[in-house]
Amino acid sequence: MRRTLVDPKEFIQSGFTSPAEEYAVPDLRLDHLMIRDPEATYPARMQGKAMEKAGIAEGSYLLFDRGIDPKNGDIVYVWYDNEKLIRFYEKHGQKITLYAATPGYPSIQVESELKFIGVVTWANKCLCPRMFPLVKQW
Amino acid sequence: MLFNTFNIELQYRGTLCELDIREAYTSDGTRNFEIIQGGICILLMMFKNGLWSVYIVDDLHPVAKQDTEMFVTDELIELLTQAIKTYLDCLTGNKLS
Amino acid sequence: MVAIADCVGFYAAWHQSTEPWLQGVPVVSLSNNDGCMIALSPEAKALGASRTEPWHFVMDKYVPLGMVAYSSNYREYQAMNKRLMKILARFVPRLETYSIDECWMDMSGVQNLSTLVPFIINETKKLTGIQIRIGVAPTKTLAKVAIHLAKQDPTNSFIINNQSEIDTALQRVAVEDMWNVGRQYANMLHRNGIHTAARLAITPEWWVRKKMTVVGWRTQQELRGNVCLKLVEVMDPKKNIGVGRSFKKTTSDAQQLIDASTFYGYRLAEKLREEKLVATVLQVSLRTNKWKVDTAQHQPRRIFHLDTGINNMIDVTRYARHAIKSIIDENLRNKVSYKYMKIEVFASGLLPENENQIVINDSYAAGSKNRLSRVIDDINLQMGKGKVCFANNLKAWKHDNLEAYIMRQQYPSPKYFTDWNESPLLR
Repeated sequence: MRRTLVDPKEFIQSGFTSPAEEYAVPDLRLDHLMIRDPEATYPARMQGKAMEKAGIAEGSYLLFDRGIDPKNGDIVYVWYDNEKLIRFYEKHGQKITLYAATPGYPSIQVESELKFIGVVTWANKCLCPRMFPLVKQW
Repeated sequence: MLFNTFNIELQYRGTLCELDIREAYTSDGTRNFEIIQGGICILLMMFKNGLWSVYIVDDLHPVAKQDTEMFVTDELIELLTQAIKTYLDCLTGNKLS
Repeated sequence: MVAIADCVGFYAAWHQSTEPWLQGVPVVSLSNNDGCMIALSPEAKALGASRTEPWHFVMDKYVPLGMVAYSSNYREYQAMNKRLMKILARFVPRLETYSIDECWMDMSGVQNLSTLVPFIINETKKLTGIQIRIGVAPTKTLAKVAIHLAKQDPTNSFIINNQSEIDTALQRVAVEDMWNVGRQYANMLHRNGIHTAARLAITPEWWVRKKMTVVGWRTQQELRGNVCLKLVEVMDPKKNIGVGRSFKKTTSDAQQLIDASTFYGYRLAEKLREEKLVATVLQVSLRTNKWKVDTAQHQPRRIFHLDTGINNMIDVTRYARHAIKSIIDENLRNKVSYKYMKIEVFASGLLPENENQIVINDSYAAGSKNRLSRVIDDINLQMGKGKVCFANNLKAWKHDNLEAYIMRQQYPSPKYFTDWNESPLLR
C-alpha cells in the first residue's frame, strides 16, 4: 500500500511563505521591454536632425535589430553612399526610397549598392540631463 | 620462412623517402624483396640470375594503388636496386650475385 | 554527426561587421602594442600578408594597397564571440566552445543537413554581420577535414555524409593540413610516402601506433569514421587569468609602479567577475628587460595564498599594491634599483563564484565589498570605463598618466558593446 508523504519542503515552509510568492515573476526590466532578441540587438546613437519629426532627437540612444526584415514605413539603419543613415524605408518593386522625417532633407532614391543593417526599434532621449551628468550631451 | 629486414632512405624527387625492405629467403635461389612504405607492402622485387623483375603488389587498396603507381618510376627502381645491392654487398655477408 | 563552425580572421571580421565601409577592404587586427598582425581578413590574405609579420616592417608596403589596421580590441571581440556562440546554440542541441572563433556542434539526428547548414550560416551573417564556415562529418577529425574543404567552397560549408564521401574528401587533404598532425609527424609521413589523409586512413594500425603513438592512432580511427573524440559541453573554467603589460619606457619610479599595480589589480578583478570566478592565489611580478643584457636583471614576485577566494577590486588591488610596496621596500633595504619593463598580476586557483568557500567571520565584509564592486561595474558599464574608481587608482585613469603604462594602441576602434558613448553615429 502506498503512503502519502508530506513533502518536507512544504512542511517546513508552511506558514512562513508570503502569499505573493505563488505569483512570483521577475521585476520589470527595461531589457525585456526594449530588446526582442538580445543577440540581434545593437546600440547606436542619433546624430543630426533628419529624423527629429519622427521623435528621434539628436543625441538619442537607439537600438537596432538585425534580425528583422524591413517593411515599408520602418525606420532602418542602412549603409549607403559611404554614410551610416537612419531613414524611413519604402520599397516598391525593385525601387527603394529612403525618406527623412524632417522637411528639408531630400529623400534618397537608391541607385547603387545599399547595405541594409537593421531595423531601428527604439529611441531613447534623456529628459533630465542634470541627474545623468555622464550621459554625453549633444 | 625466414626474413631479413632492413631500412633504407633515398633521396627521391627532391625529398627524403624512408622505406622498409624485407627479404624473404626462398629455396630455389630466387631472392625476393618486399618494399614496404608506411607499413604497406607496395612492391615486390625479385632477383634471379643477375636480373631484376619488379611487380606492384596486386591487392592494394585503391588509394594505395594509385599512390604507388604514381610513385614507382624507372628512376626509383634504379635507385632501389642499387641501394639494395650496396646494402647487401657492403654491410652484410650475404652478397647479391 | 558533428559540425565545426569557424570564422575567417575573426578579429578582422569583427571590425568589418561593425564598420560597413570595411566590407571588401583588407583589414588586419594587430597584437598587443601593435606588434604583429594576428588576424587577417580574406582580402588582406589575398594581398599576400601573413600572420606574425611585424606590422612596422610591412606597413609601408600594405597601407598604400588600401590595408586598414586596428589595434586589438579584445573586450569587443569577446562580446561578439559570446553573441556568435549563443546564436549558434539556437540551432543545435549541444555546443562546445573550442576557441575564440571555433565551436563544435552536435548534429546527431538532424535529417536535413543540406538545408540547415546554409540556414545557420545565413542567419549568423544576418544577426552579426560575420561570415562563418561550417564543416559537418561523422567525427571531429573528419569535420576538421570538411571545414578545410569548405574554404574552397562558395557555400562556405562542406558536408561529409557517407563512406564514399569520406573517401573522396580525404584524397583532397594533405597530411599537414589535418587536425592533430604536427609538422614533425607530417614530415615523417611524407618521408614514408603518405601524403594524403586518404592514405593515412588505410595505413596499417600497428604502423601508425608505432610511429605516431596513440594520438596518431586515434586520428586514424576518426578518419575511418570511428568516433574517438567526444563533444565536451562544459569547458573547464579557465585555469588562470593574468593581466599585465610592458611599460612604454622602463621605470624604477616607485609611484608609477604602485599606480600600475593598482590599475592591473583592478583590471584583473574586473576580468574575474566577468568570468564569475574567484581567485585563491594571487601572484604579482615585475620584470626587467631581459633582452638588454648590459643592465641588471631582476624578476621579483610575490605570491598570496588566500583562505577565501576573492574577485572584488578592493581586495585584489590591495594585494597588488602590497606586493609592489614590499618589492620596493626590499630594493631600498638592499640599496639597489632596477629598471622594470613589465608588470603582471596573475590569478590562479580559480573557483566558480558560487563554490567559493567563505570563512565565517569574514563573510559580511566580503559581501559588501562584492556588492560595491558590482555597483561600480554597473556604473562603468553604463558611463564608460574608469568613470568610477578608487582614489588610489585615480591617477592611472587620468589620461596623461595612463600613457606611461598602457599598451600602445595607435589604431583604436570604438567599444560598441561596452560603452554607450561609443555607439555608431547614424545621420
